[in-house]
Order: sequence, then structure tokens, then C-alpha cells
Amino acid sequence: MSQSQRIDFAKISFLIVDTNPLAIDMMNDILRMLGAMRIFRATHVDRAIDLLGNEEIDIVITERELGDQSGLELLDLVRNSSVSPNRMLPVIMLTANSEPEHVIEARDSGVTEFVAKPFTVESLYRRLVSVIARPRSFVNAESYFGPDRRRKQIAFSGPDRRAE
Amino acid sequence: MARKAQIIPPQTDLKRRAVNSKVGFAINPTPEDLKKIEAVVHKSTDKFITQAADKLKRLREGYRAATPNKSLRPAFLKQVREESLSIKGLGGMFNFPLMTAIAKSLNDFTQGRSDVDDKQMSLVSLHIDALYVVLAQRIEGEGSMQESQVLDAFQEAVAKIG
Repeated sequence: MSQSQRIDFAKISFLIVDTNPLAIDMMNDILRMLGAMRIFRATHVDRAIDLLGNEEIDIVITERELGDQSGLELLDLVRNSSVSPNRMLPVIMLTANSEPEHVIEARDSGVTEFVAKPFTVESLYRRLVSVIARPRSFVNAESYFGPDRRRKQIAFSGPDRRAE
Repeated sequence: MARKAQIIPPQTDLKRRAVNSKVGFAINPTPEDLKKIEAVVHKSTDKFITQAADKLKRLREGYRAATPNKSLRPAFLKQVREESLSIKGLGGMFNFPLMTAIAKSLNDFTQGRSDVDDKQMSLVSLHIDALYVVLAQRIEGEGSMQESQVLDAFQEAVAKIG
């Protein structure tokens, strides 16, 4: 990808899901600074589902902890429900619970990107670039539907690695 | 027999719509670009301070109510767990990493607990007081050696009393 390429955030719509108004405002301000104009907000899962069903949303940015609900429930609905508007919708999950078990749980639930809080603006920006400019293949398996969890495709010239 | 995994090619709609060579933010942002975004975050620092002070005030009220009344402690612990996680996540973003560290210690302490004894209640209260001090004195950045020692003391106390 060319070093001089740019992202026109005005062409993308976002949904921010968080119970904390300050966190929503901060994310909203960051996205506006980047040039985004269509930004929807939800403070709970039900409202987020409602917006997903009625608005054209390109990227979901959700907190993992949503009071008595969880961003994982929202992710599950997007990835596995028959009413999902787009099962391949990019979902960026933010959380202060950044312990490895939480990261693995989110990854295995089909999250597109995971951002540990507190985050730097650079780390958030790189995740946004990743979901927009470097979309990943999806895997549809018996117990998993989500982005391909293998991040790097390494060329291999030897015999079949999984030969029986 | 198990179903074979199906690989679905990436959706490139967003890329086609938004990636270009003329308009928008650079894919590889310059340090100046990043500073612009950081400035947006820092603009909200006063809001964070107000919100954190309010959360700590409510935690102190919860502590005062739950100290003599043990039946209130499970709900108080839930409140502590939720608010400490929120402060842990946001503190560092507004240049209060020490608040993040203290809130993490408090949040770790509450994980998996549904009740606490009197000594453990005191430990929760000490954490809340320490968060208040950091906020009231606007101790930004990592703090001094003294703050680092306070954090170490918390870890020791959690290990001993927890």
C-alpha cells in the first residue's frame, strides 16, 4: 500500500457503544477530527441493535463492559444472528480489561480489532486503518464465524505442513 | 464428519470508498497529525476530572453506607468494580497514569469477590482516598518516587489482606 494514500473518513459511518458519556464524547471528537460525519451513539446493547437495524453503519466501536450487558453480546449478534445486517461488519472492541484471557475471548468471538484502554491515539488510528484499508478474510467454520485469526500469511515452500 | 472451514474473501467496500490519494487523513500519519488527534483528547481533561471526582464521591458515600451495614457490601463491591474499571481505562488517556495504576489495583482486588470483611473494606477505602489525592493534587504522569512507593504498598497490602 502506497505511503501517500489517505483515508476519507467522511465516507464512513460509525457506531460508538459505551455506557460512559465521556468515553463516547471523546471517541466522537476523535472521529470528527479525522473527518467522520456520520457518527451514531448508543449507551446500551439494545439501542445499538436498533441502530444497526435501521441505519447504514460501516464500523462499530464498542466498549466490552456495558453495565449488565457486554460488548461480546453485541458482537455475537453481529456475527451469528440471522437478523444481523452484515455478519462481516468490522467491530473494534475497547476495554480496560486487557488481560490475555479477555483478548482471547474477544478474538474467538470474532472481534476485528481489540484495543486496550488506556490507549494511545496512534494505536487507535492504526486499528482504524487496519479495518478500512486492510480488510481480512473471514472464516466460516462449525464453531466460529469471524475474521481470519491468522494475521500473517508466511510463504512456505516445503512439503505440506498439515500432511496426514 | 466435521464441516470444513470456508474462507470468505475480505469485504473491500470500505477500502474502495474511503482510500484515495487526495482527501482525508494519511494512512501513515505524521507526528504532527497524531498531535492534532491527541489535542482533541486533552481538550476533554477537565470533563474527565469532573467525572472522576463525581465517581469517587459516590464511592465514598457507598463506603460510608456499607461499612456499618454488611448487607450493602455486595452492591458496593459491584459499584467499586465498575467505577474502578472506568477510571483504569480513562486515567492514562488524560495523562493520569497513576490513577490508572491505583484503579487497576482496586479493580483486581474486587474481581471474583462478592463480599468483603472489615479489613478488606479499609483497603478499598485506602484506594479511593489515594485516587482522590492524585486527582485533587493533579499528579499527572507517573508521579514521583513517593507515589511509586505508595503503589508498591498497595500491592503488598492487597497480597496480605486480600
